[in-house]
Amino acid sequence: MTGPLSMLNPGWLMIAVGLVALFLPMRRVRQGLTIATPIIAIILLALADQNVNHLGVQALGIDFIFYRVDGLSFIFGLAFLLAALLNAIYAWHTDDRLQDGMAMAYAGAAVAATFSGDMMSLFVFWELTAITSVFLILRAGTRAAYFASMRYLAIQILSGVLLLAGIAYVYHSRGDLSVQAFTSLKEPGAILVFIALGIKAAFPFLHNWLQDSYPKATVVGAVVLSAFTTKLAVYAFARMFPGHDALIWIGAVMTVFPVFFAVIENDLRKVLAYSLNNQVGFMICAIGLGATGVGNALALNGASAHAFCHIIYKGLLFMSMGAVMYRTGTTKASELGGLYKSMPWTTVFCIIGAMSISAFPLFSGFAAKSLTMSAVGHEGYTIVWLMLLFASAGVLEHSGIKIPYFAFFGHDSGKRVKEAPFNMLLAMGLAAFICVAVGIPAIVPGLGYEWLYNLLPYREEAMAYNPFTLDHVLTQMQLLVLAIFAFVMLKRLGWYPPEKPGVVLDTDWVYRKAGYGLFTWAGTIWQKAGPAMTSVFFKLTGRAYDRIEDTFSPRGELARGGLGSAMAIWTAILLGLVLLLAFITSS
Amino acid sequence: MMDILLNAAPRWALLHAPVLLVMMPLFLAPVLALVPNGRIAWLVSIFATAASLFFALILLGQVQASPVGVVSYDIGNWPMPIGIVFRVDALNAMILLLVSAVGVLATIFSWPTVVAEINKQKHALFYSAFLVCFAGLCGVAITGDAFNLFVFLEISSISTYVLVALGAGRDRRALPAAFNYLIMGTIGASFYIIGVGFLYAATGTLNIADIASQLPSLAGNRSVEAGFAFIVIGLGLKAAMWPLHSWLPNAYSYSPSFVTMFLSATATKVALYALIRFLFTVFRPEFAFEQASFTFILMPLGLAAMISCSFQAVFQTDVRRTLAYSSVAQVGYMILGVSIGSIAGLSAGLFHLLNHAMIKGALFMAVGGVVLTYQGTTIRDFAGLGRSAPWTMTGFAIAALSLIGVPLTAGFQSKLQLGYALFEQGMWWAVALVVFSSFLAVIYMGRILEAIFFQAPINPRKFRKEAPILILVPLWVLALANIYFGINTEFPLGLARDAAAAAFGLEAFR
Amino acid sequence: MSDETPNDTRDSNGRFVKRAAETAHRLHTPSEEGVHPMAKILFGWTENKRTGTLIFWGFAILSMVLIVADLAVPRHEYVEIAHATGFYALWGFASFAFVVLMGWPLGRLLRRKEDYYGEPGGPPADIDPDVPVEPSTEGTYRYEGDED
Repeated sequence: MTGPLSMLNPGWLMIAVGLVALFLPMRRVRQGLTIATPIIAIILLALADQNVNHLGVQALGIDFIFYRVDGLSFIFGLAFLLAALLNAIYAWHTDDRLQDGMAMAYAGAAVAATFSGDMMSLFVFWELTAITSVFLILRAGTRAAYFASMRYLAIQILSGVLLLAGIAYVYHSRGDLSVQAFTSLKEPGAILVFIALGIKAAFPFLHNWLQDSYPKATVVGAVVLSAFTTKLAVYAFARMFPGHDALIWIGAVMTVFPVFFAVIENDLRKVLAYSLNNQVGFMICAIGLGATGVGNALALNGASAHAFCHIIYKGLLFMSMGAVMYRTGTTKASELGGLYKSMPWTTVFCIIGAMSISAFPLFSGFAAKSLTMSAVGHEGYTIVWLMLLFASAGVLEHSGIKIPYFAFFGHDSGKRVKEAPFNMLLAMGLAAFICVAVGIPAIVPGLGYEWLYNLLPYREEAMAYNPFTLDHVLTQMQLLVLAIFAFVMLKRLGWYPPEKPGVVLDTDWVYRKAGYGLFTWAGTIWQKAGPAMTSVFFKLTGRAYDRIEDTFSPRGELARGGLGSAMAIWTAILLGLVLLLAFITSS
Repeated sequence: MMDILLNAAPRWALLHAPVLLVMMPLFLAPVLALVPNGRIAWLVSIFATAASLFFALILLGQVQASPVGVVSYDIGNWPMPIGIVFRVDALNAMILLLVSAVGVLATIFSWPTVVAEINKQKHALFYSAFLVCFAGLCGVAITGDAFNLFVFLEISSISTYVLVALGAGRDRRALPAAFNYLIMGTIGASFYIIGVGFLYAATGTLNIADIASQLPSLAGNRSVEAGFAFIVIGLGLKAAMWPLHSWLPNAYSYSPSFVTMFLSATATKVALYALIRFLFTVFRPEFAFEQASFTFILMPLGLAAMISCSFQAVFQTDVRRTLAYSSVAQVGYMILGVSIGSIAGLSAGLFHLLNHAMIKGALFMAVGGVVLTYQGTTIRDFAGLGRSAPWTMTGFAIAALSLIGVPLTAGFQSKLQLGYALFEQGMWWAVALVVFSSFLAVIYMGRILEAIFFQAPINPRKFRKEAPILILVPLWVLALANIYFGINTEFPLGLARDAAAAAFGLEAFR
Repeated sequence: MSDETPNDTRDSNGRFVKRAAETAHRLHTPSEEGVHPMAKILFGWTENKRTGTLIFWGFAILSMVLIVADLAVPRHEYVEIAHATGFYALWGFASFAFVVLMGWPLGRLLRRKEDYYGEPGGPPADIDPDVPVEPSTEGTYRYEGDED
């Protein structure tokens, strides 16, 4: 394709449409736009030549590459665009200009970042995802959402600032800003970029912005949020840090620890947020493997395929919980149950999403996760492999069983509501269709996992891999069936912990409770310490200073107008220090 | 451009630019005290500051054209060690340009706020005091004599105390703030003069260049070291170096808007200039005791200022106090740049000095506009102003983004330069702290911006009411300068680099 | 769906169509108790009292079958430990049980009251307007300088 249209980064189109939607009062026209734009963007993307810089500009001494497509960015971009389309359908019943516009611009920013060929434009869109997405949380309108969104924004901006600092360093040392892999994690620039990406990917201890904010977002907002931010970070890792050993271990830890939080968490949307964390762990782990050896292609394919499938099925799960939230006003497991009676179709789609994320054969998770697992095993990381296998059972627990069981089955809450609106069902149906379509073998022409494998960055290696071998299906079934059996058994024995309302502490406690307390405490101390120090000084030097102060302070206001007296002491102390230092160093 | 100016200027201006720059405002000041009409005093002040700007530009041109990069002017034709000499190189040419340019903009801006805040009988006296202060600051920047520097420092300081105290008409707390400032400023000046005394005892001269030439032969001299300590602390206090800054927040928040705006952009900068002059021209970074105090005193203090005062800024409820604490934090950046001890570090510090003057100038101008039209400076008072005063607040927002260090603004460029200088020394942990401090700036400016643009006005009477055009024009000049110099850094960065080279005694002219 | 159609569909064509339409309508209209008719068809079986037992034994038998099948199927494994018979089954069972049982101590350790952080939550603003939830009145944030 040639012409000016071929130079248009689909993300830019979406951002522009998002801005237009922001000011478009006609509801159906606006929603029509938000549905049509991702479709147009997908067509644009499909027609774009790969491994060519479609649009580049040289300005301010930097080579900006605004639009570049290759195998890796293609699959991520496609997944983002599909998610944007499904989200737009899912939001059809709402009438909210701000949310429509920001959701579109947010998706657009993620796509634009994916197709950016230089780090400066990546940074700009990186920040744009943060700024646009925060409205999806704010729109929930609750006080908790307000605070969570402010924390979210602060952390996301911090990530952007770190990224910028890293970019500045890279530019200084390399003199070139094109997005390329870092060879070593030793240089400070690489570390800064690594941490910036790590925040967005929700690495362990940097993760809780995600669990803090996503469950507090609007019904539509949580669905939109689940698709982009973390996966953009995964893409950036695949681009810039493939094959760094650190990622293998970080990823493995990331798959394991959210499992435990998800078990005791009561809010099902928060459970999904933990599950998101765990799934991103698989991708990060795979990226860590992808540098050398045979594992390279397998691992990067695994990460990309997993990201693609994950965006769809995690979106589907968030959609089903969104539908529950929409109709019942809650997603707390302790208040739900028996909803299949009122929302059978939502139940069906939720179960399809649950089976996909648990990687049942014939569902998309199986086709994607197998690549990663094989790569880890192939490279000989036995412990990591065992951790991932453990986490797979964990996924089954919190996403595969807990979500559908406690929302739709289990103890009947007596809630009798309407089935989800048709547009929600349609969006869920489409997502469920994709989950199945890329999970099955190629029985139906044009569908099947091979369609997905064909789009992966290392196409030939992917096509040579067959997930449906007898032993593979058997072992996967053993894992899943026995795990379900464990559930059935524990439930029967009454050993399964009951769902109780409550807040589960996570590391965000550090800044939400301890940090806050520390600030208050430090503030008090600081206010007291200055005068206190002064008073110590008084005792040492007698009352002379007192008298001077009395003389010089009209109505005693001198003391109130800042720590003037304490400052005089500081002056003396500092002078002493400088003198001492000067004498010591020169003698 | 400089060539045109040098060719067009009359001969007397070229010959006597250094002395005219200072003496014009200084001699006009007592005349103003006799003028009955405030408006005439204002116009005369604009004329005086504009004339100084003109001479500053001439000096800059002469310095850049000079083969040695120095313009010397012997007062009364008394030759150097005996007489007082005005000595201009790239470093003080830059400072003079900054002070006089800000002076012009501030004076233009001043009229509406002075009318609103100062007693009508005192208008002319107010401008008289301002011109004295202005002349004093220029004098500090231009003189080549250590004792003369003290004199000018006191001239500017004493008039500043008066100016701050005049804020009492609006807020009585200006009086204790001015008094506090007087005490601290006097301590600082006394320390400085004690330090100069020590140096005089060791070298027998007061001329800065002369002292500098004698010091290397005096290694290990105790009185030189004592003089160093006193001068660093004295000037550090004047420059609001943490923790010697506590005079500043009060002085800035209670003085008249115009004074705050002018002082924030010039006073600490000039003191910092004097500090740099002593640290790099008189003493040298090669001296062991100076190297040690860079590493163990100045750098920790700079970093502490960045972090601690940014935190304090976060917790303020008054916009002017927030900005004042932010100023101390920004001085921390400059001190950090200076304490690296390399040319790159010093030029980063000076570059930030220039940019910060533009940023804070614009911010305080916008605040002045708000004080004028809405009579309030708490963050709550700013709620919803984005709708009722869009031009004022957009100018504010641009400067605020620049303060945070958003790309494409001047503030970003100076942090970038500072980052490069730190990386060069391998101090990437310090870069992390700079980044963290910028992050705090996002919070404290973000709070204000959020109130301005996203909250509903608390006061229904806040209908559309912009600041007067006399405020808007200089405000937008500075705001646009923030953007222009954020994209095209050639001019200010060139100035800062030349200045840093000059401070090191190198002749790195283009 | 055709199973649900009554036997007398053999009447006239028109009659059949009407019945089909009625069926379709019935499948979309919740009954008096608010139960969606599709629910009966799709998940009615779960309400059977014996289903629980059936599922338990069904899974028990299926598990045994899968483990036994392990003996018959040759496996290609990269990891040494996975060669053990029934490894995946055992690992899956143990992992799952461990995770779930850890829920007891962790719940006691980490679970706090819902208002622990003092930020009143509640459902987001864009839920179904028919949901009988009191809109949270505490959603307004107090700003600096607010008078008490």
